[in-house]
Amino acid sequence: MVQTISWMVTREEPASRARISGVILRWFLAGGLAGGAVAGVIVAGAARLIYIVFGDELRFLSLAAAAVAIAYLGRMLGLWRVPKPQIAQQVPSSWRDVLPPRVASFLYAGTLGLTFFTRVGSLALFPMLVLALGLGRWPLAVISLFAIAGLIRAATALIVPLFDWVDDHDSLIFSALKLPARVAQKLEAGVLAAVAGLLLIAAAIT
Amino acid sequence: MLMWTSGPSRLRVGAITLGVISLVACAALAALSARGTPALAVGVGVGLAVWVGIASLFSP
Repeated sequence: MVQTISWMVTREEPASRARISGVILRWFLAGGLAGGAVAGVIVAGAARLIYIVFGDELRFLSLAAAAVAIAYLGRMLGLWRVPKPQIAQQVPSSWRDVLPPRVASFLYAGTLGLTFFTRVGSLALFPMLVLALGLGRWPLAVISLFAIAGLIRAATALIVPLFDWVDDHDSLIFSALKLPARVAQKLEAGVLAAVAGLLLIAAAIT
Repeated sequence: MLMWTSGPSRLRVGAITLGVISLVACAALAALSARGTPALAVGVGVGLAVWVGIASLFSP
C-alpha cells in the first residue's frame, strides 16, 4: 500500500514536489478518516438494528468475537482452515492518472478506509467487526473505532516521507518492509490471542 | 538505498507534524468512543482498530 503514495508524490516535478506532497498527504489522511467513518456508520447501523431487535447483546457478541479471534489464531498457526472473506481488489491505479492529485489521494485513502471493499490486511478486522456489532447501544463508539482504523491505515503512508523513500523504487520499499512484515505476522498472532483473552474477561464481567 | 538520510527535510518535518496531528485525532476519537461505554470491550476495540490500521503497512 505504501508504494502507492510514493508513486503519487514522485510523479510531480522535483521543484514542486515538497509542496504538492504535503497537499497529497493531508488529503490522504482526510480520506482515510472519512472512509473509516463511513464504514463505521454502516457497521453502527447494523449494530443498532441488532440492539433494537434483540436488545443489548454485548456479552454474547464479545464471546463471539473471542471465538472468531481464536479461530483466526488457529488459522495463523496452521491448526485449521478458516475462510478469510474479503474483496481482494486493489484501488484502481488509473485513478492516480485520471484525477487531480488531491482528489485521487482522498478517494484512494477513502476506499482503503472503507475497510471491507479492498484487500483485508489484518485478520484482527474480523473480531473487531463482531465486537462492534455488539456495541449497538453506542453507535458513536462504533463510528469512532472504524474512523481510528481508517485514519491510522492512511497515516502509515507517512513512513514514505519520514524515511525519504520518495525517490526510491517500489521494490526497494517492499524489501525494506519484508523483515518488519515477518515480525508483524507474529505480533498479529499475539494480538489475536490477547484479544480473545480480554474479550472472555469482558464477557464474564458484563 | 533505503535509509534515514541526515538532516530534516521540509517533507519530513511535514510528515512528523501530520503524524502528531493524526495521533491527537486518534486519541480524541478513542476518548469519544469511551464515553459511557463498557471500558474493557471498547478498550479492546480501540486496540484492534489501531492494530488493523498499522497492519495495513505490511499488506501488499
